[in-house]
Amino acid sequence: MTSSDYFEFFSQAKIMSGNRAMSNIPIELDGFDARKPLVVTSKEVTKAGLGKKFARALYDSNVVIGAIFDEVPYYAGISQVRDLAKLFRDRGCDSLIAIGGGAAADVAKCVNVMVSGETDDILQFVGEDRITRHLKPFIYVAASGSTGYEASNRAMIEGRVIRSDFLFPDVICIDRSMVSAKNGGAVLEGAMVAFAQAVEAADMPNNNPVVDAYAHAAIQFICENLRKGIRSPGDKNSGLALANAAAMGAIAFSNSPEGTVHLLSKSLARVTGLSESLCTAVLLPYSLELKLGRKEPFRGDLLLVMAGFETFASTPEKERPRAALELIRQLLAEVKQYPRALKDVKVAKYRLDEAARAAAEEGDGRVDLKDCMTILEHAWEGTSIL
Amino acid sequence: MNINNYPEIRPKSKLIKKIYVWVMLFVFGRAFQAASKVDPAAKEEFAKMPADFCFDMCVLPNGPHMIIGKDEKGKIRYMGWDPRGKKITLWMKIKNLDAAILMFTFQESSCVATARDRLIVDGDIPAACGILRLMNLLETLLLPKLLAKLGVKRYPRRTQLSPARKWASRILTYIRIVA
Repeated sequence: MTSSDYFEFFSQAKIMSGNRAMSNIPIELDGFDARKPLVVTSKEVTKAGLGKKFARALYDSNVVIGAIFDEVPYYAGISQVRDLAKLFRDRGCDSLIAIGGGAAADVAKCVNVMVSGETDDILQFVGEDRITRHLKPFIYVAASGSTGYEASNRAMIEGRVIRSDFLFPDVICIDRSMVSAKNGGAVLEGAMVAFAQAVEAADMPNNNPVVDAYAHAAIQFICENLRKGIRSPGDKNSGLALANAAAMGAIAFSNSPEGTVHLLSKSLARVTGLSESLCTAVLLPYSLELKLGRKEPFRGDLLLVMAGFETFASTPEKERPRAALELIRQLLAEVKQYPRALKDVKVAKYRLDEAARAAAEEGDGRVDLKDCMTILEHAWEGTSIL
Repeated sequence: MNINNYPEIRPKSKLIKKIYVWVMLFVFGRAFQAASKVDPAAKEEFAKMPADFCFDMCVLPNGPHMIIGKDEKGKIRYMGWDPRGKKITLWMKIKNLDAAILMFTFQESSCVATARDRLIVDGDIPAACGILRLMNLLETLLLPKLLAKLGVKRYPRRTQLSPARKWASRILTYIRIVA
């Protein structure tokens, strides 16, 4: 473990995880002096009966639900955020709850920025650290299907990113009854992004022990539960573990600079229309291979987290990064839903250059264009960099 | 957007659960009073409590409550379910009705519930630990072994609680609860 002279770590989220965790929401809201939350979610969540489950958990409390808005599409749009901010004010709400992953959490965060800042122009907050005041209490309730960013300090609105520590949820609620997905794909989406986030966060040159703690726990949870989560998606224990991993991965990611895989998979997803988790799953091993080939290998601790103490101790120190990479390859090989190479999903080779340039530009000097191209070309062919 | 499509939702009541917890708290309250008279371990535990001891176990946010305390003569009394006008020195607040149901259906022992942060203790911590020990004792006395094992941290061995004492305390406690 590396130690630095100085480090910072920030996460304001209280994590409540396990059996009947949702029943604690009223007392948490009471702690913020809030009584009337606006609930934001998607149709998938209400169709799965999770909206009713949530409402039932608040029975026998003093919390009145301002409204349950369940028409969030797959992306967060400005007009919808404005409408919801109006609904929030008209109903006299004092807090926000997002149920389920992806756009619902993004919309709730953006509404929170608008109602707390008394403004209708959400775009003025696009960028880094443009929010300067505390927001209204915001609770994120994990439900099946997640993009891995809900528990982070960022919100996406119409393809633009708002990043601020004020965007962290105040409470992350992971209830056992809410996290069993109907299909393996939903489990995979969040888990893959969280895995890449955690691996990259744990391997940043200037990371700190607290980031390590979150990232390592996330990696361990995913390694132990991903297979089971995909094989039997209704399994609540693995669903709970993966939802915890997604939350921890997002918190570790929020406290680290964006890594190569994150930037590349984001830009590749934008350019090709593929899902970010698929791009992440394909690109992660190649990014690690590039590091391994350059004699600046990633940390061997990854093997300890993934394989346990016995394997770690019996592997010579120099071989640990390679052994960890092998384990990651094995894990990904068992995920049949994802291809081994980008050409298998009909990605046009000429689009790689565009994705690499976008990633390098967004990386702002942290990511080398040549490295991006190397990773993408090998990932397209499916050939090893080593 | 038509806001009428998204109505306000007022919380309903979980009446059956509430009644169950109320009954359990009533029985436990009476059992605290009874055990303080008949069981030597309970007597000893209550003797350590301060003279103005008044304990309220409640379910947040709106009850039910169970209040026990020492009267002027220093005897343990079950003081009902209304905390108004009583000088409470120790609160044990169960965070919600679902948590209370987990505890009182013995799906979670009181020690596990405490460890899982389902309770808020406000007052003297040693006294609260004493109350948890007494609750374990009461569950051992009142419930059959199979059920009591689920509710207590460690079911006492024969050397710790002899069958004679257990049955004597059990019968006398039940008589005093009913009488």
